[in-house]
Parts: sequence; C-alpha cells; structure tokens
Amino acid sequence: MALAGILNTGRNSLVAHQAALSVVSNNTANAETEGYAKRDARLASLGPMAGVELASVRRRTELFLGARMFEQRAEAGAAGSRRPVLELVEASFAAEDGGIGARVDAFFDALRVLATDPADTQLREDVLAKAEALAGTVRTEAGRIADQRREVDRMLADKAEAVGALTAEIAELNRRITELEGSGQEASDLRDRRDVLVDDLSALVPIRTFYDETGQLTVLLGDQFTLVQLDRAAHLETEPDANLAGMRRVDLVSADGTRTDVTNVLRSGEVGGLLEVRDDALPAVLADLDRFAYDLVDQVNAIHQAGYGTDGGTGRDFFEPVALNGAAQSIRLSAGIGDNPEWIAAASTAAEAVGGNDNLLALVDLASQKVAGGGLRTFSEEIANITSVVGRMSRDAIDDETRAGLQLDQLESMRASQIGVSLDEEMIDLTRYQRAYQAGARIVTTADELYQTILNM
Amino acid sequence: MRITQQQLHGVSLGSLQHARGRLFALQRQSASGVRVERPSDDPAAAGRARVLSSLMAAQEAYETASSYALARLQTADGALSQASNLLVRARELATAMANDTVSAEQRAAAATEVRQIRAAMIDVANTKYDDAYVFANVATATAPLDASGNFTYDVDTYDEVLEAELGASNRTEIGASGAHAFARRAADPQSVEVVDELELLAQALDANDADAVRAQIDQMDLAHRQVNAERARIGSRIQRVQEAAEAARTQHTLYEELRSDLVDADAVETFSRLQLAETTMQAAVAVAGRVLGPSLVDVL
Repeated sequence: MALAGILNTGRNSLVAHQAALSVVSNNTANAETEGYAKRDARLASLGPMAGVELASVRRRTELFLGARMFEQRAEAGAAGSRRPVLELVEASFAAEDGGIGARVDAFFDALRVLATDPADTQLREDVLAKAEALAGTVRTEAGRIADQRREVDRMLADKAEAVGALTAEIAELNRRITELEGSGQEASDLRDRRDVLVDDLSALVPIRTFYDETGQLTVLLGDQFTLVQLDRAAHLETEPDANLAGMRRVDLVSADGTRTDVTNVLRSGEVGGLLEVRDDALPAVLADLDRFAYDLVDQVNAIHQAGYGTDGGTGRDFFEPVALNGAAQSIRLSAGIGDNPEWIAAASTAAEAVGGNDNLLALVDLASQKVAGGGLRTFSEEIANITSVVGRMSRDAIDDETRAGLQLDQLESMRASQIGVSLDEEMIDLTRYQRAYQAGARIVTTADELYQTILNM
Repeated sequence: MRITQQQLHGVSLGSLQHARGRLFALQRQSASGVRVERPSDDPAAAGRARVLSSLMAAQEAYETASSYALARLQTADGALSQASNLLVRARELATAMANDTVSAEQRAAAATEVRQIRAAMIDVANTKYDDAYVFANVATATAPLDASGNFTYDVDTYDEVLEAELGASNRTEIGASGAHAFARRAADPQSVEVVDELELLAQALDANDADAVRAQIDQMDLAHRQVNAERARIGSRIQRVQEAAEAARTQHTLYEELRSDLVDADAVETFSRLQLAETTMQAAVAVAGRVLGPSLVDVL
C-alpha cells in the first residue's frame, strides 16, 4: 500500500463528508420549506483500500398516503367552497324579526285583527302593508339566493382557470425533470415543486396520480380523464350552456383539443363543491321558496276571489297570480288592491259586504291549515322547515370541512413524519459528518507526517 | 416514531386554532346569551324556534283582537245600560199615568216625555264605536234604525252577531245584537219592538186612554227584560273575550319559555364552559411554547 494511497483515501473522505455536510445544511435550511422532502446522503465504500464517496443524494418519498391525501384535500376543498355560500344563505333565515317567517305571521295576524272590525279602513290598510312586506321579503330573499347562485357560477370560471394553470405548470415540470435527470443531473427541487402543485390541484378537483415506467407523473381527473401525461396538459373551460339555464358547463379540453363535458363528473374538490352548491343546494332552497310562494298566492287568491269587498266587488285576486317556477321572485299584490283597501274581500256574501267577516275568518283559517309543502305543513311551519333545511346544509358543510381538515392534518403529520426534516436528526448528522471530516483531515496530516519521516531519513 | 419540525409546528398550530375556535364560539354565546344564533348552530332547534315564534305572534294578535272586541262590547254594554234606564223611566211614567185621577193635561205632558225617551232610544240603538254602528250586526256603516224608528235590516235574518278568532280554533262572539235587544223577531213570540211600544205608550197618553196606558206597562216590562237579556249576553261575551285575552297571554309566556329553552344559552353552563375553553387556550399556548422550544440546536 503506497503512502499516496493513504493520502488519497484521506482526500476522498474530506470530499465525501463535505458533500454530506452540504446535504445536512440544505436539509436544515429547508426544515420549514413547504413541500421540501428530506434528502439523505448515501455514503459508500470506494472499494478495496480506496476510502469513501458520496454515492447518492436520495430524496425521501412518502408511501401509501398520496391517494388518501388527495381525497381528503378534495373533500376539504368541496366543503370549504360550499360553506361560505351556505352561511350567507342561512343568514337570510336567521333573522327573527324581519325574516320571511315573521312576515308570514304579521300578515295572518293583521287578518285576525281585521276580523274584529272588518270594515275599518285603517285595519284594512294594515293588512295590505303586511302583505306587501311579506311579498317584498320573499322576493328579496329569493333574489338574493339567485344572485348568490350566479356569483358561484362566476367563481366556477375562476377555479376552472386555476386548474388549467396548475396542469400546464405540472406538465412543464415533467418536461424539465425528464431533461435534467436524462442528462444525469439531480432534479429533487423540481420534484418538490411538482408535489406542491399536485397538492394544490387536488384541492380543486378530484385527482389520482401514478408514475409511469419512465418515472414521470401522470395525473388523472376522477378515474378516467387524463389531466397531465408527460409534458402534455389538459385544462378546464367553462361556458354558459342553454341546457343549464345559462349556467356554465365545465369542459375538459385535452392537449389535442378534444372536449369532454365533465360537469357531472366533478363531485369533490373546490370545483365540485361549487357545482354542488350551484346545481343542488341553492336550487333546492329556491324551489322550496317557489313552492311556498305559489301555494300562498294560490290559496289566498282562491278564498279571496269568493269573497266581497266593502264596495261590493267580488272575484278579485289578492296576490298577482304566479307560475310555480320563479314564484318567489315574482310574488306581489294584485294590481289595484294596494290603493284600494276596500277591495279586501272580508265578507262572504254581497249582502254583508260592509261588516261581514266570514271570508276573513276563512283566510285566517289558512294560517292553521296544512296547505304548504305539498299539504304537509302550514305556511309558518313551511318557513320553519326551510330554515331547518338550510341550517342543516350549512351545518353539514361546516362539519365536513372540519372533519376533512382534521383527517388532512393527520395525514400531513404522517407525511411530515416520513419525509420532513427533523432538526435533532440533522444536528446529529452534522456532528457525525463534522467528526468524520476531522478524521479525514487527520488521515491527511498523518500521511503528510509519514512523508516527512521518509523525506527526513 | 420520527418527529419532524413540520409535524411539531402543524400540531401546535392545529391545537391552538382548535382551542381558539372553541373559545371564540363560547365568547360569542356568552356575549349574546343566545345558543342558536344561526340555523346551522342547531338546525332542528332553529326550526322549532321559528314555529314557536309564529305561535307567539299569533297570541299577540289574539290579544290585540281581544282588546278591539272588548272596546266594542263595552260600548254596547254602556248603550244597553242607558236603554234600560230609559225603559225604567218610561214604565214609571206609564204606572203614574195609568191612575184614573190623572188629568188629560198631565197625560199629554207625559206623552211628550215618552216621545223624548223614544228619540233617545233610537239614538242608543244607533250607538257608534269608531265609525261603526255597534247594533248594526253586519252592515256597520248603516244606522240600524232610521229616523222613524224602523230597522234598516231584516231582524229575522241577521239575529246572529259577529264572531272572530280570539284563540287557536276558538271563535268567540264579539258583537252585540240589535235584533235581540230592540226588535220583535218571529223566532221569539215574547219579543217586542221597543221603539214602537214607546210610541204606542205615547199615543195612549195622547188619547188620554187609561186602559191603553195600563196595557203598555206590561209591554214596558217585556221591553226592559228583553234589553237586559241582551245586556247579560254581552256581559258573558265580555267575560269570554277577557278569558281569551288571558289565555293568549298565558300561552305567549309558555311559548316564550319553550323557545328560550331551545335557543337561549344557559348562563351558568355557558360561563363554566367558557372558563374551561380559556384554560384550554392557555394550556395550548403554553404547550406550543414548550414544543417549539428545545432542540439539539440549542445544545450543540
């Protein structure tokens, strides 16, 4: 064994441990970096009597968690985009004074009082004012929900665009990783970045990923549609569709330009959450309100038409007749009655036109009859029921978001345990490699002393 | 298990946010005193509370309606009390003038007074409350008696009184019947036309016919009994309306309590839970400080 060999071994040790120390320092510096996976320095023997080398720097990868995390992130994203919308809707039903429920009560209560003095003009005007307020509140709240729905539709366009931006960047990273690693260079930083982007994407739409035989990442939308393959990216486009009453349809546009309607495929992720609230939750509330308004107009008018006003007129509508679809947004007093309180048909016969209250009593009876909600509930109970339904929707979104968030936290923690940086570990490695470096230096000085000895002989 | 920096930070942040969220919710509850502020706080309770609010509003309407009805009935009661007094005076005159020793001049003077009583009786029957004739039954804008004392409506058809809903499925009579108080009705052979009987008395006195005057004493008794009978009915209606108002008040209180149980926060429970949440928050802060503290970095 030549002295030069020992010197070389010392040199190799210095080089290898310096490299290992740089890995440790990089880990330490990135301990809090989002998406950073710990790099492991692999030292290996250089063969017989040749010392050590830094064989590789491995980027840690997590196992098993990927799919679960995408799922939970999509759940959390869906609930998180549903919640604020539903919370705004439920605020319309939270008001104890001035809400639709209180207005319904006020209307029937004004009729009850009028029944004690059916010809009194002031009490008649009070009934009209309360009916006006009821119709106005129903119109406003239904209009607010419809506006909310259009707002959700606009947000959908933004989110769909964000999906396209992410897939394009992931495809670009795929290309650069292939390029770098093909030329034998290390691309861990790009892989970190790509993982972060995939995480972001999984919050927007339900995805699945797998690595192909060349180690490149393929991203699927749902189970069947390709979002990213190699350096080719698909994106989402939204476009108002007549079949969805002017709301936006979501199309998947693949790299070669093929369009597929995926509106009904997206069931989770922020995009899925927005679609659900736009197509299921809000229309359900609006339909309930329409049904309520339609029944109210229909039932009140039927009785009102049969009665007589103090001017002897009969067959008049109280509310303007409405179609079921959109009833809540168009309910209003019938033309003329607002300025003619004498038109209120209190009496049930022409002879009792002034002073009779039999027809009013029939109207008051409506308040306690189960004629709303498909004949299951009174008008007040129907509003209470819609309040419960809206509250439950909002509660579900809050609970879903919390639950998915907690599970996601746990998965994140498991992933951090697998691939994150532990400072204690790094400090120990730092000390280890520092000592090894010092030892390498000692080999060099020792070899040097041996040379001196020989030279001094 | 391998513990990394991101895990430590994640756990600290997570538990801090959780504790902060609970504390915030309880702070809001304690400040407002309301447990169910939004329907999502408790969807079922919010729905029930809405129904109870409806019931409460209805009770308030029953109370208002009762007070309207009461004012109208009390006006009618006052009018009939006056009618009763007028008839007592008419009977006194009739009794005094039935005596054979009374002169024709005295009878003529009495006739004048009886005609005044008759005019007053027409005014009483046409008593108004707030622009509505209380004895008119339905046509409240038309006086029930015209200037010559004839009924303007068919007393046999309209001998019922106005009803109103003063409680859940509780219809109560809230009107006074002019037909029962002042008219001769086919259904009741004992009934007399009060204003006409007074006119007959006046005519008997004018004619200086002691026998005819004597005959009218009985008629005055019948009229008096008839007016008082309707007054008694009005009295019992007033009582029923007052009972309805009282029932509405009681129901209102009951519903209010039920509603409060559903949506209001129990002060003692909320405060003890608030205290617990504050303690948890302090603990979370202290633990976060410790968790993020020591590391080999400090030692090496």
